[in-house]
Amino acid sequence: MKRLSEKGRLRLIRTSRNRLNERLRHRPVKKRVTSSNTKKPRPLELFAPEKLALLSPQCHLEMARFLRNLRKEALRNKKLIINFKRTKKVHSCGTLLLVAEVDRLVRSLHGRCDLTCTYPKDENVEKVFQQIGLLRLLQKDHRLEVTEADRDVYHWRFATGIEVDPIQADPILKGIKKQIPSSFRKIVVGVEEAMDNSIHHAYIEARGDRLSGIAEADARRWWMFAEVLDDWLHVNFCDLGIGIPRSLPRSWSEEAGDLVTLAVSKGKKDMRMVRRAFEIGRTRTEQDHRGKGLRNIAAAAMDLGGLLTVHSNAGGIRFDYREDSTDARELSYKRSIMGTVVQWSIPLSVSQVAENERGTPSSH
Amino acid sequence: MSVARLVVTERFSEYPAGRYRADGNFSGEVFREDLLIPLLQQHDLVEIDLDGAMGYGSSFLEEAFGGLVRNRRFSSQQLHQKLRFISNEEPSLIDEIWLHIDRARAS
Repeated sequence: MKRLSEKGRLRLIRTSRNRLNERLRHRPVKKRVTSSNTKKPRPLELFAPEKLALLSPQCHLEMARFLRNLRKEALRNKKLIINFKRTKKVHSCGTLLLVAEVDRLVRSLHGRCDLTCTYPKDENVEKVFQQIGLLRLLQKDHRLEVTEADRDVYHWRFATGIEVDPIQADPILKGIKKQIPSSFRKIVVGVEEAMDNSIHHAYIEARGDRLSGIAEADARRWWMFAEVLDDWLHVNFCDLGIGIPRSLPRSWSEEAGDLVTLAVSKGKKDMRMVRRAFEIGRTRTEQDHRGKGLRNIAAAAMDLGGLLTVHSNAGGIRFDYREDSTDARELSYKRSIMGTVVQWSIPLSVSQVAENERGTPSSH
Repeated sequence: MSVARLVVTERFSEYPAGRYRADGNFSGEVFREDLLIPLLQQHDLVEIDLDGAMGYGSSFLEEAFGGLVRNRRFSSQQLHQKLRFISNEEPSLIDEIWLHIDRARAS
């Protein structure tokens, strides 16, 4: 080590004494302005999960954690970058939830936080993001061409609205009509019920996150996706409200026995409440002529022999109506997604065969 | 006897949905108050053609038809005499509407 000169030694003693005095007076030490610390700080980057999906507990946890960080950091930072480099798989349920959260953030924090992203490494993922408008939402230009040859991408459609007005989802619903010509109405009715449910029940209280209180963040908005993949039609519907468990009467949790079993996790409590909502079909209003929404949502999947998956807060349920099965798989997770995602999955070939057997016309 | 014919897709919407006026321009309440009640008051028989629409949610149907009885505008017996439905595309819709009318209780 180089030996200090006498002048240097004295300067060092003086500086350290001054710093100590400043610290004792609880005043921050003034930093010397150098070329290295006059540069603007790099904007914060948040890495999106590898899989945008909700069904597996690990994916659900990663999505919930990522979205929570996204909301938190968007409020703290003037510029925020979502890094999609690690994202390799996109499932419609997780992707819809991400799009809904990003859309809500962009609408609510317009001018306060500049939200943007990096292009995904995976070309297919980039095409999906392009097709559903996520890249535009995050201020990125489209670089790729999506053609009908991109089977897994081309049929993704996206819509959003704040009314019970399916005309806002017209391109999606007309697309469904093309895929399942004589049964499309079942899905349309299911979607209408989900819209009705979200407008009337999901936003009765504040969501309770950091953005609550901002007019756009509290808007009664819904988001919707449809995609055709491997002969399955997936229709996804999402709201960022208080979730089914919180929208039910408080007495329900007592009926579900949750008060006596305090050890039951949040996920299991939410799971029980979602299940009871579908079984009983009773709603918050407890009026005779109300409360058919959730059962009609299930009827769309039941009549078409498909699957219905509902994720709400930290719980969920999955009904499998294929081949006369009426299995229900309960889903409980560690963290809440702070909203509800409904997914209808209809096997196209089976529903087409059933239509042909019934002799119903193939188109209207 | 005067008869009125109401084709939902022509005079109302291809997407009838929602319960209350606040839900949107094509909700059950709008259909009932702005279209159906005036026709029922002016004519002896109202024939409603439901075909062509993209679907009818239960909230819309209950509010549009069950609401006639619930809000004491007509009794279910009167409606059985005054209403006729056409639904070739989905015949079960007619039963569903009558169920809403017969189950509705005047408030």
